[in-house]
Amino acid sequence: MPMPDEVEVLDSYDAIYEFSLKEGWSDGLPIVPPTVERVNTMLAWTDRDADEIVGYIPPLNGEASIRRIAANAVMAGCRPEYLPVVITAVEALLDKGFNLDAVQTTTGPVTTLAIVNGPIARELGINAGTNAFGPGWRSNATIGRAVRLILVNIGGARPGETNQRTQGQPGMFTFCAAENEARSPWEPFHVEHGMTREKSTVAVFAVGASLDIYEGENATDILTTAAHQSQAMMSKLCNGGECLIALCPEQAQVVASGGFSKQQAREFLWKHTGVPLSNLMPYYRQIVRKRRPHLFEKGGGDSTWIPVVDHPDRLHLIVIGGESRHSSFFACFAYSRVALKCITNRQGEAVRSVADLRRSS
Amino acid sequence: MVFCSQAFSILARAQARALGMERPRLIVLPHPFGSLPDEAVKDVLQRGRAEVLAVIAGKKEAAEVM
Repeated sequence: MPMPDEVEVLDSYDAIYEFSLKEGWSDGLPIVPPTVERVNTMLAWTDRDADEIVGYIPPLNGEASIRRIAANAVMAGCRPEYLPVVITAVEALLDKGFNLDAVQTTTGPVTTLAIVNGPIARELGINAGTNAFGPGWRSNATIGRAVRLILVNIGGARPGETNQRTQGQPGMFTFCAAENEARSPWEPFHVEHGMTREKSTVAVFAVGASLDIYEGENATDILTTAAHQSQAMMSKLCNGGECLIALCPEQAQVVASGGFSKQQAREFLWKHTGVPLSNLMPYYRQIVRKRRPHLFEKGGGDSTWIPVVDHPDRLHLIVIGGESRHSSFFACFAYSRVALKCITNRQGEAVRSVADLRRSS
Repeated sequence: MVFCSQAFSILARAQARALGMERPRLIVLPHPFGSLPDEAVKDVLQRGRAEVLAVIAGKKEAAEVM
């Protein structure tokens, strides 16, 4: 059932928590009650009309109005100034290439990861360093949680009903971080995708659980280890799609010092991911033949090379994290592509600061 | 008419309702279906042929082919 615009609930922490659980509005954790006052305070941090509909969220085509997005941001515990990032994340999720309908309804262990770039990431203190994917930062925790609550409460992807993930994964509670642009030897992700450094963006990836890219003495070690992680992912070999490699600053510096530009690193990775068809068990061989027939256009022998992704450009590299050498390899959901949107005002112009969007009281 | 595998039957009904189809004609197949070899797919459809045709012809509202 879609969320009503207003309800009355007994003004008690326990009553509100139990009510939200009963109605299916919570991720299992307590919510911040989205009172009219809190939602209006949140709405003061966007120049867009509260009744503007950003889009319709699958699988049940719920109306994502600015007001409903704001209400879910309150429930997640967002500070009001985070609202522009949450709105932009929703816009990115609704990009056709992201294929949100499939992401919402897959049985696979897929979640949405939001990566924020640009000055607004730093303005809001979105963690890009130590524990960026872990707990401890309100911005990371609540922006990611707001995205999940929106997908459940507006989109209707309720666990056990319309969301039939076999197991799910912990990233479905919250998954948001910023890229560590200050410690990256390369251009940031959003600049690589056509933005200027001064713009701020939200990119969304549909990712599975991560594999650790551990240590490595030199650039080739690190890239080869990352490539080998992909070979363990039967779902990627069978289905293709995209991958995301989140390199820690130390490993990124070693790779860059080894003479690799970001593009060169991607090309090396692509050449070393994948396996010959003969490495797969017969059951998986027939799945690859059905789902990736283009790999067999020049013949279909057992030596046919099965790359994890079809092209180096389908391997995405970002730099994130703190000290020491641990990076993350993510297999992305095969039927979804990364989507990136700029944080803008209502005229579509990029803003340098969320304060530019704040309505005067 | 909606074809779905067992794991998605609740979703299929909910999505059809959201799109304005209160009582969709539904054919439920075994799960998983997408990774079945071609021969297994043909087997499933042969076994359920009569049921599927009955739904297509409007004689039944839903069928489960297992």
